[in-house]
Amino acid sequence: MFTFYVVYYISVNQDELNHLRAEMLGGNNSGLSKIFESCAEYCIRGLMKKTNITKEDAEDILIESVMNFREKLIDKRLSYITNIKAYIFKTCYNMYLARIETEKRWRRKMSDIERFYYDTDMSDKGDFDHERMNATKHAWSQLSEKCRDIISYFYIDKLSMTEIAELLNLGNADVAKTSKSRCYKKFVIEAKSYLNIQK
Amino acid sequence: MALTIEEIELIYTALRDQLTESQQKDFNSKINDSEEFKIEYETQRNIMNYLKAQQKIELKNELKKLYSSSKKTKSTTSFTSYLMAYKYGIAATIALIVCVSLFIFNSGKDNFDSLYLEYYEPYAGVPLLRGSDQDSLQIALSKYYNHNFEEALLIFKEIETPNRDLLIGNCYLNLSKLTEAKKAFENAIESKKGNTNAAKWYLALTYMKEENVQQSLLLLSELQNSEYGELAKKLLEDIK
Repeated sequence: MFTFYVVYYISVNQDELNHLRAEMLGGNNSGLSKIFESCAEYCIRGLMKKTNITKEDAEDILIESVMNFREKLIDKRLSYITNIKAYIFKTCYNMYLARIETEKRWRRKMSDIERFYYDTDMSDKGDFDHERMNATKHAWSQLSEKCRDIISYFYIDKLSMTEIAELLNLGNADVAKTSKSRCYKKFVIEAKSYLNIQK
Repeated sequence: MALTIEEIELIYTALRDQLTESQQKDFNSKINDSEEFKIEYETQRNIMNYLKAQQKIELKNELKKLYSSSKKTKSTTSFTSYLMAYKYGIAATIALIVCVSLFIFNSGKDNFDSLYLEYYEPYAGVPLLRGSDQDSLQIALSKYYNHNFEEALLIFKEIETPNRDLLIGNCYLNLSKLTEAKKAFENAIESKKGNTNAAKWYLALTYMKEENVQQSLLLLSELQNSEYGELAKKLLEDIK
């Protein structure tokens, strides 16, 4: 159903968005390829015309715009889209402006990981620190797959405990909450101890 | 002294950006009063920011692959479509006639949409000052320039600043709430506080977005001798 609407550039309603969201939460992002198929050429050409950026940069921004669409969809911040092409193009252009603004603010060109880090919290005054990033990576690698899923669902996708319990077959919301607390505690302890060892 | 369970829960909620108004007050006072709470929150927030950034990198890599394969699929599909069109020539001709009719029917709407997309840029006349993050206006502006219009809007509504209505209108416009956006721009023009020409420009764009060309043209003509004159003339030519 979603495929039909996206390909023909018509509106996408709540049911189709819900279907796509459920697929993504199940780890299947392939529905997004339809968005690339229908919007890529229009957005890349439009962005290059409006901003004079290179094709590579325009493609990069398009990919991040689709990421933004995915994030909003999972976070239930999208209910109805009248014109998906116009929506993605508008996001692309806003992303382009945000990227310029971030680099102006920090007065340097940034790698993706740095930019994503600053994007998550613009008021964060701490500079990007590779040691802390490694500590996070290390702590993440110490967790079981189930723990990683719980933390991602809870803190990144911001799902409710009931939804997490359903997705991971955890019985009920209370079981999910207990698991989340245990996993998150382990994650933070691992990151902190990695940083202490490095010091 | 170790943090209480309530304090730990408060940190969890803050990390999900889901504090209610009363929780936010409680959270702010704890941040100011308890060094231990503050350090714990900032450490966890820092770790989560790195985690979010890393996860975005992983997702971006996955989407890059999807994008590359969609490009291939598209070229294969085009070739297949060509063969199909050849085989079913008559059907394709009929389909073409239908498509052309639909295109003509929809072209006006698409034109206004593309013109809006081409000309619209969020109002950027209020500077964001570095190092003033605690000021409500600066927090709102930081969110606004970071295109977090929903949160920026909530703060703009609570503060008084000359271009308040103009900024509120821009937030609504970006959230596709055209009626609210028009009302905000009209307030900005009537109150004569801040940049009224900018308010007229954005009101003209709002009218164009909802295909009310007459109202849009009227405002654009009024702007011809203002700082928006060049843009207005160019847009008028494009509309014609």
